[in-house]
Amino acid sequence: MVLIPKEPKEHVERRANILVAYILTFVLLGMPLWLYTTSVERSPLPHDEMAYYDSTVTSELHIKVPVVFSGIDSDTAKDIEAELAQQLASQNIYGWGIIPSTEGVQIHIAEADTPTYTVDTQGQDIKITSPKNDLVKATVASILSVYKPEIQDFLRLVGRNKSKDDLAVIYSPQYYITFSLFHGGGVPVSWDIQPALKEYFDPLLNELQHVATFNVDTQVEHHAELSRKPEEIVDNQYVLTPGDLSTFINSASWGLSSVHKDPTLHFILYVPDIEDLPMHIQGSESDSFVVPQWGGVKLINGQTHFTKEQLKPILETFSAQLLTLLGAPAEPSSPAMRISALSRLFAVKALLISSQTLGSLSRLTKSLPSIAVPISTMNGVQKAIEDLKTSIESLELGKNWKAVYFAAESMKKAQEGFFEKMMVQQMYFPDEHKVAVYLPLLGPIFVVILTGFGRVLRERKARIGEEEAAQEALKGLSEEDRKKKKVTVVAGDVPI
Amino acid sequence: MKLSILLCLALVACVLGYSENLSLRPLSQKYLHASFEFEAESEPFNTHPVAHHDEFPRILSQIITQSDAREIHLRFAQGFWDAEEWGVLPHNGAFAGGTGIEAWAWIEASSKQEAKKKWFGLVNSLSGLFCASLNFIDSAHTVEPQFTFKQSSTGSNGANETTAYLFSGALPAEPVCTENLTPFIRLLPCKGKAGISSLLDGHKIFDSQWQGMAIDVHRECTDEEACKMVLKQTVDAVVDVPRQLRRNKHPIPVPLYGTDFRCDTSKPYANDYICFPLGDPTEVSWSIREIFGRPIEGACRIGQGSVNLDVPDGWKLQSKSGEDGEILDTYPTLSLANTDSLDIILSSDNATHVSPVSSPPVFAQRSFSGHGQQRGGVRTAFTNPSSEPVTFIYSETLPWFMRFYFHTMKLKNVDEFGEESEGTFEVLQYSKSVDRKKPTHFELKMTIPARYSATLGYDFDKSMLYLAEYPPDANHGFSIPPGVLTVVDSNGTHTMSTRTTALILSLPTPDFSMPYNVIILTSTVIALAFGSVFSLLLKRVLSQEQADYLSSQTPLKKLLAKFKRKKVTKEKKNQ
Repeated sequence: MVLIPKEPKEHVERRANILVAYILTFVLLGMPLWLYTTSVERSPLPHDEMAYYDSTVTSELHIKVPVVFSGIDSDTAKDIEAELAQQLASQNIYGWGIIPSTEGVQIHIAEADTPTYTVDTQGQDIKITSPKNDLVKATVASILSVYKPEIQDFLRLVGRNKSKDDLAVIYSPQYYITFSLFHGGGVPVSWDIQPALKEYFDPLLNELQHVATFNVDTQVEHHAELSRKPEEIVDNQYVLTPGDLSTFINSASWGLSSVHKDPTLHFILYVPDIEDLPMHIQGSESDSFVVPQWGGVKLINGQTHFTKEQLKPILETFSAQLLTLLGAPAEPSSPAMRISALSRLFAVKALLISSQTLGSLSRLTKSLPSIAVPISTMNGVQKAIEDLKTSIESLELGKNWKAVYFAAESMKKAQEGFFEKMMVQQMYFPDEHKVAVYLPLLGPIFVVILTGFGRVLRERKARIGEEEAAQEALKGLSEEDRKKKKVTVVAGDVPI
Repeated sequence: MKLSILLCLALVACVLGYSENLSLRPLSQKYLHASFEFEAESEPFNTHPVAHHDEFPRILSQIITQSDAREIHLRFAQGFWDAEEWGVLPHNGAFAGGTGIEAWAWIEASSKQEAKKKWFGLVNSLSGLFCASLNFIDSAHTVEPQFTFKQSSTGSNGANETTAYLFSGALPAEPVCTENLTPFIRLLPCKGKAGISSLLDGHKIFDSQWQGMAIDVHRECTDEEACKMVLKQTVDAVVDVPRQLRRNKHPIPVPLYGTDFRCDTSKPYANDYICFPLGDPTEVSWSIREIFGRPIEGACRIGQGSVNLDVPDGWKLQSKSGEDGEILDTYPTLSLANTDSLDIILSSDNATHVSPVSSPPVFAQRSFSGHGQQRGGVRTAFTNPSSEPVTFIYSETLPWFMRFYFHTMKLKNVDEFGEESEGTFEVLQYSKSVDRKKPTHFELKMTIPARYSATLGYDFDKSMLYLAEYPPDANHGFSIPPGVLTVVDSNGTHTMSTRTTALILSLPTPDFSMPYNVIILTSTVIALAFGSVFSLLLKRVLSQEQADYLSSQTPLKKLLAKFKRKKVTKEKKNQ
């Protein structure tokens, strides 16, 4: 039998205090230090503004076509403007309008008996004739019918009309255009493309340089075979069905790849193998077709050399295809007006991409608290929002080229901020590494403290049990007796 | 219609700047050296880069424009060129690189940092174009040799004379295979469908003893205004002819039938069951179709094509046009003219009689010396078999983890009688390594007298790398790029170039289970340290007897004690 003296109360309490001190040190000193040293750098982003523009940029856009009226006074011009706005508002279209300015589309209004309008095929002139009393309404009706395709395209961009698939390639401030002459066989083919481009394509290109930067490239390739020979043969000629057209471009073996990230528009003049049957496209007079968001193709049979004059109609086809691929509305067909419409639509597209990027970035950084937001992203976002505002203002004032420029800048900065390398790096910190680093350090400490905690609780429970037992034992006695009696608690057969 | 096509053909073929040439040269007894050369010129351009492309591939032109390169040289090689049997490398070694991939380029820029950035962009674009991992050429693999390579660009681009910086990188461990050959063929105007390129088949080319592919682009400016880019593509292969013929017969190797044995009947023990084998037959007859698997599929109608057969007298040369054509005798040089398929048959009674090979002025062999995981040495043996002294520039690139000691570099000359003497060499350039940033690079100029041999040796230390820097098979070793040897003549022009073999350096590998060990060790240490201190603070101190008594009072011990008592009483009862 071994006697174990009872521990004084202070010792037991001291042990509990030590444990509490340990736990408090870890919680009050260790945790904040750990959180501070392992937190990621997150610069504050203007989430409200980003979300605002993402959701409401379409309603902030007010495109204004700059027009110059001639043949009427300024009051009538103001009436026309108001009437137009009212007509559009009645159709719930608030984003499009006209603004009288010193440069832009020239609208000549003259008096005649019947209300008619004609659009110039080359320049930016609209001639409107109408009887005197009905001037304003006739003018407004003419303007609306001339610009109907542009308004439709605008509504489709801002998401109001859901229509057919878009032919237009994605917006970019820089495009590459490649003109290719492909021959399906081995007979050498050639073309005088350099002088032909200078004379027939450069004028259009110079106009387009306001809207985006275009770099032009040409190439000639032989043995450019189709991936599959067409099956239909009519009159000793191959006929390409729409199914054949979808697999026409043989990207694997034709030299169509590029090293830059900006979109490339390919225009292919394809000469089928001269030693094989000629080829025609079913249902196309000019043997040409557009590949959506990619480029255009024109088939010519049997010719091995193309002179400058022979390339003129081909380049005209390609020019029309180019404007369609860029997203210019089909009507009015004057290239100058198409390019002007293109500038407004490009600005809208760029602003949409910019605001969508900003919205995505905001949602991303909010939903993933572990990725870093470097200062460069914050600066980029702020500049993007400033440029966005400038672009919207310019659109309202009818300054199209300025609007396109700032919209492109805004899009560029928003995308740079979104695709910042540092943000992505933090995401892929694997969980196993975290476990491997923290477990050996914190695991043993945690376990030891837990067992200590358990022990302290047990001791406390035991002590409370003792006191209750002692109270029980001294129950029936008086005060003095209690002081005189000594209570010995027995654990098992041994008093402690 | 046909006549006009023919006229067009004639007119166009004279004007276009493309030519191709196939050269076949039998070597010693059983090897055949086939050399395919393709040369294309671009349209002339002024200060702005080329925008119109005909035979010159557009994608290469875009890469050149984007990286502002004046010249680009790319080499892919596999196998071993036996210089003692086969002589000088083809084209004097101008288009043969070391094992793996080698790339060097002259980049135009206003400062070296800018040029280096463009260099990294260039190797990334080339790696995408040729499906080769050139993008592994980072700053730890890039060197700037000044004396080994010479520019082939001529003239100046009149408008702006910017400095061109040379960068070079080599990856000796990269495999070269069909996926590199296919983009190579796609750069050609005839794309492997017609002309000489129709013979290029990955299965045959990469089955050879030694093969090399080279792409060289340089700029030629004739006067102030017009410059043009010239692209030269070369494929060289040394084919083992009897092996190829054997594989045509049996794609999967089978043992020979008894009747196919070639036995030496002059031996006394020769009979039907004992055979002393003779070497390969010296009477050979093979055709292009048997070696390459197909005939030349007609002429490439863009540019000029020609075939050159480098054989001495005594060989019979025949050609066959078309599938059912007659077999006719032919000259050693033919130009490809018509679109019928062309097969060329070479036969000889004595295949050992081949065109004379010129012995190279210097042989070089490199190997490791020393043993152990801590240090080692490299020995390069140069032999001059000719009767003239030879001067050459020897350039080596060593990775940063081979810690090279320059003061240990020694050159030992041995003359033809075996007498040794100390040799001297001139150090043209030495650039020290920076850990993980720059490799060691030196260029030496040496002269070896006639019929002497020299040994260049130096020592290095092996170093440990970070755990993550070891490749998946760490014990295989690290590839050291081959040394480049350029023979110069008295005027300083480069006459011949060759390369040593690549080496495999085995570095000491760490214990890859260490991360696990670290975790276990750390947990143990923390548990012991923290746990001990913590328990000392939180436990009550008792004497040994008291502690034993208390521990015997736990429920488990009580249970065991009960069993013990039961056992004791049982025994007592039995007694």
